[in-house]
Amino acid sequence: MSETTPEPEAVVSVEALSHTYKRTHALAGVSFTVTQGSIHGFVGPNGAGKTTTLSILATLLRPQTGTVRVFGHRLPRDYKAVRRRIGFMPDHLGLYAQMTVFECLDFFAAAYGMKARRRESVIDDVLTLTDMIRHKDSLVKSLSRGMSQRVSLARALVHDPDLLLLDEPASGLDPRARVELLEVLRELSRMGKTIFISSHILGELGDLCDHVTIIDRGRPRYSGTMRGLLARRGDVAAYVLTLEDAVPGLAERLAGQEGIAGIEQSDGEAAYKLSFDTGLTSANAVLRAAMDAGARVVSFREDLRQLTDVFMELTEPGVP
Amino acid sequence: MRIAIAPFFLQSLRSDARSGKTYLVRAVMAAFLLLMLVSVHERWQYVAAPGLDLFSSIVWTTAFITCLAGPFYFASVITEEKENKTIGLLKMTALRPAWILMGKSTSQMIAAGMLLLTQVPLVLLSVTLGGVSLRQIAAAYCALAAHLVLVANLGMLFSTLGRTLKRAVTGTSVCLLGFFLLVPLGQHMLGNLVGRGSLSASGLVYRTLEPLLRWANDSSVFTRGREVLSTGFSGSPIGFQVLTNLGAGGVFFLLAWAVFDRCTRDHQAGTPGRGLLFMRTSRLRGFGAGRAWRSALVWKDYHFLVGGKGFALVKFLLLGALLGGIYLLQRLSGYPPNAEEFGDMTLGIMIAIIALQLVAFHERILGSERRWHTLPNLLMLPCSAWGLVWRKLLGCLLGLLPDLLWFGFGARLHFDGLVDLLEEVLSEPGAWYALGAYAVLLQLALYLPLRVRRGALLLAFVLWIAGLHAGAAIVMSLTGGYGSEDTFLGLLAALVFALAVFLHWRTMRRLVRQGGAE
Repeated sequence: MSETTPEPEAVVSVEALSHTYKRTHALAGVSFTVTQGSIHGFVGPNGAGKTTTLSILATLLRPQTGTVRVFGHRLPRDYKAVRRRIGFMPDHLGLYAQMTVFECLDFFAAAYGMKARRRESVIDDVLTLTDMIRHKDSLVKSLSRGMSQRVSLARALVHDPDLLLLDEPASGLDPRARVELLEVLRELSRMGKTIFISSHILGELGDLCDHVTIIDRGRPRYSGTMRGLLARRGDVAAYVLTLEDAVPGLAERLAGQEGIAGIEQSDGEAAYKLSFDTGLTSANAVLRAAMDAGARVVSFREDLRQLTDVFMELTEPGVP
Repeated sequence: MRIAIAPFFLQSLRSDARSGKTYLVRAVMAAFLLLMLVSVHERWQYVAAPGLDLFSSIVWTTAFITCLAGPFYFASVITEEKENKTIGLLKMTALRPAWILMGKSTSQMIAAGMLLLTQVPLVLLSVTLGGVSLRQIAAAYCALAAHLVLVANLGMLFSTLGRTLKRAVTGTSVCLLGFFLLVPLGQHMLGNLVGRGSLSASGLVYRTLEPLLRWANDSSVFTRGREVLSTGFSGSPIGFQVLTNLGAGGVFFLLAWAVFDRCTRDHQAGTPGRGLLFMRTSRLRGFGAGRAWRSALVWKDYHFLVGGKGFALVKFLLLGALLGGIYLLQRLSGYPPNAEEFGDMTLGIMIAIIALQLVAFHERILGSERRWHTLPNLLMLPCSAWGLVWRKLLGCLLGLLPDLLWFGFGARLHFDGLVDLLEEVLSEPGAWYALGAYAVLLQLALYLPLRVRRGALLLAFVLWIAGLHAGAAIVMSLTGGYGSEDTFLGLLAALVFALAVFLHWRTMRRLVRQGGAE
């Protein structure tokens, strides 16, 4: 008897979704599925229709044509059932500037019907998760952009939603804050949350997402796994190998391996950019060869610049 | 100077030319003038000087509109930049503070002046109609223009001082109200005190206060208006009021200039404040917001929209001081009211205050959420748009507790007065019409913030007044003037209640769609 892996449940299912603002077609036949427990990137240039899609998923906009189901509930009909299970972080945050962080979260938790005693511990938990516990009694308006983003994320989490809809959560953040925010999202994913995150920078999501939908001028360009997206580049994969110290002769030795298409060492640095034919070798085999040559590996990851190339190929130039 | 004003002026011209609102306001102004002309035509046979009648109506209405709308329009000059967080960018340019102030205020003053200019062709008709001279027209428009300069610069001063538009508008309105109400009241009181012998006419107090109050009263556009519009006016078009208003405008401009840098440094300017709400780390945390209630929206709006317990206490004391002050003034005037009279007066004052506050609350229920960009998060809560609005309204109504206490005090003094009032409301079609019309105003105040970001309250009042007049005219033309007054008022009452229900339905529909549009 053969065991089959059950198909992951579709948390969000969008079919042929279209939306028009007066004479502007914001969305034209967008379809995609978000599976449970995944981190799904929703990528497109400015004006692609990302915020419109997120607003529809968040029950703030009525879909004009097409079918939208969230947790099996059809929108907009069953919007109340959906609202309890989703947490939405809009791009403009929407926090009450005159409240303290605690008051703001306490208000939203109470509005979701949470009892006072439980609220206190939940607020502490989400503030600890977002590393904002020290600012519990600070006024929201006194916080920096990065801190406000964290509070906004905490607000979206306060009623323990199963699905998080995040509209460009990393925009306007400095590199450190961006990395820290993405780390929080990874932690949430490990906790079992499904995350649907929009961004206009594909490279930013490359490390984080397992699925991605690319949209441009309201039309879907790609929807599927991140690996599938990379496979569009053909049989050639690109990786960056970073070592503790440069190993003399390593580049030449790896170049002699079967399937290696190119290798480039940054001047005076212990970082190598590798490309190889995935039909002839694999990332594991390349890594093994490097370690056999005495390399002490710090990291070995796919070259996200490749994602940028894919993004540029899939989207059209110019302003929509 | 030319360089400084040009960018603002050109930007203002461009945005005015592109905005449909500009043409709408001018069209409303033209329609309003035509309505006045029609009204004068109707009364042609009963009025001795129809030209003067028409001209007086136009001048008084313009003066009142400047006082009412001026604070909303001119107090946004700098607060708009603060709220949009663009004031810093403006300061980073080569423009000096005086140029920024002058450029911003000049463009707004010119836009407002254009509305005065649109009146001129029709106003000249009043000369043909008779009873008014060109000198009177010139003097009246000089007075109105000077008054406009005064209001514009006062608005700009408060716009510079205030962190938010609301504060700037409140400051400007309170100053104007104080000036136009307290000065005549002060003169009246001073005359009474001297008349009763409580104050010597040759004493220092009288000799100091009397010329000051007279000087202030002569600086009022309303005093000047009465003078100019009197039959046989032959004075100079540039009167004392024109000079003092222009002078005061200049002083306000200099004050705004002096404080501009200091008042625009704060990066938190433009964000809403906590008012009298103390933090939970404060010793006075009893006056803080505390923990959110089970009905979270009620809690939020009671504390963060209408001020909570601290503000309620202050309001209770202020209302007490107002009522006490009125009682004291009446005693000083030599006509102390008895308990019933004072009870009636308290009831009347409290009804007026509560009615005005309710209109303001209705505007703020959705307007504040839009201004703070919090509407989408609120609409995401698991409740209907209707439930959201009513919970928010309930929170605001809790803010009326101090008012209701004083209302109860008035009712305690003269309970029969309250019963009479209720009986009148229940039996008179006119009272039902007034209630329905008020419900329309409330619904307009609730609805319009979803359509316009600024000036929704003012627009609600303008549309309300215009709508009531138009509605009455339509019903009158439909009934052809037949039927009793009660039938006429009954029809109007039904019409306004239906309109209020329709507006409420429109608001709910609009609110549902607004979240995605934000």
